[in-house]
Amino acid sequence: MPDQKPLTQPERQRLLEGWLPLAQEANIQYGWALDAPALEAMILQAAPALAQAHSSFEARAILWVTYQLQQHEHDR
Amino acid sequence: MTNAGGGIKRSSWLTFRRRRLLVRALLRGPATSAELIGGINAELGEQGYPEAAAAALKHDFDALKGEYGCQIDYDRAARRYHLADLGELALLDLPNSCMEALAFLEASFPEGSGLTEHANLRALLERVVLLLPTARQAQHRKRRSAIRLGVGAGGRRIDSDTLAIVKRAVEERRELAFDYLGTFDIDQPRRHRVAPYGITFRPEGHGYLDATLLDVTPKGGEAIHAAIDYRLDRIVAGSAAVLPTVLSPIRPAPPSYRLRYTLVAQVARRRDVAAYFPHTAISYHDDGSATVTAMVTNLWQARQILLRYGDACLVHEPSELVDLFRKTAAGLERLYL
Repeated sequence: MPDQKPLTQPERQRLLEGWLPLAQEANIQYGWALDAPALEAMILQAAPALAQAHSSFEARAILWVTYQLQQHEHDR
Repeated sequence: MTNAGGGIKRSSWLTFRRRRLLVRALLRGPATSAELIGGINAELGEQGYPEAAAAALKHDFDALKGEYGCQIDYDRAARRYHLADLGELALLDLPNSCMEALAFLEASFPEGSGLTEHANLRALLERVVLLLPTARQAQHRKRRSAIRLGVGAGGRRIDSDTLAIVKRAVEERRELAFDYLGTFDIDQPRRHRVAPYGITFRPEGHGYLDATLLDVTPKGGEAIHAAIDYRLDRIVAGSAAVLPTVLSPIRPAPPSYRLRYTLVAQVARRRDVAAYFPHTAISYHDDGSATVTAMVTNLWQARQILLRYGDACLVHEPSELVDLFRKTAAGLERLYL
């Protein structure tokens, strides 16, 4: 996102609606087994970086890194 | 230490160094004996291969095979040697996190994808895997086999200048105008003026601009203030321009719909139904089927996603989406029945 202001409900809706198909495919592809709330949380965490993505591959890589960071936080 | 002992030690070291260079040369790719000898002599000068180099080269190959378990194959047609397995010289090992990253790249750039831009990445991946010890290679292959889908490769290339202009408009929160060739624009693109809010990518590889339509010339079927996902590769290259007008603080909210659909037991019985929409809630039933509810604003996208289930999915609401499915079903009937 261009700024760090909290998202309004419509902004949040469009953001999630836009990225969930790719995030869900990555969820299946990499065997994360994340449920719906966890996927939404991952997209919200990754949103600033996703806004800079230039391709679906780059976006997948951003989601993958976000997942790894979340796992790392979880393991600590 | 005697002179003779020192001489043997130096000779052994030179032999080891020559063989190490030989392996390194083969890691760069298949090579003829002349290329290998030339490359090693260029490195070692007088201490490289002697006059009768072919016999010495063969001796080095035998030593690499016998002492380190290297597998070096000879392609008779091309007259080239090829390093198939490093054996005990597989000196690269990686932490588990890097092995995960390797699996990610493997999944994203699968073998046989046929895309030329993937070719070099495939070569790099294969080379890195070759450097891993056998057990790690086996671990990697096992992980790779568990990954089924590759990166999407659909769609035309997105014009990089267009993408930069769109991103600038999003970041500066300014209106954007561009010529767009939509699905139903057969001949000529039309000029769209929009409020741009973000860029997303879908699994099939297409990139989209999420924008609110402000004006379009000539007019079409689009509703002003509708939220539209514009395919970035369909924006005519060279036509995008950031306009001076700054976006209003609050985006006109597109209509939001409660989505409810049922998936038959064949799809849902494993209780791993995917969440493709915001606020997804899934209820599994005793007969194995599942009812899914969610919130959506983009009915076209919802239809595209749910169509993947074929006749295993029944949409109950919103009625606007049910109508879209009826139209699709009528079209399919015309085509097939």
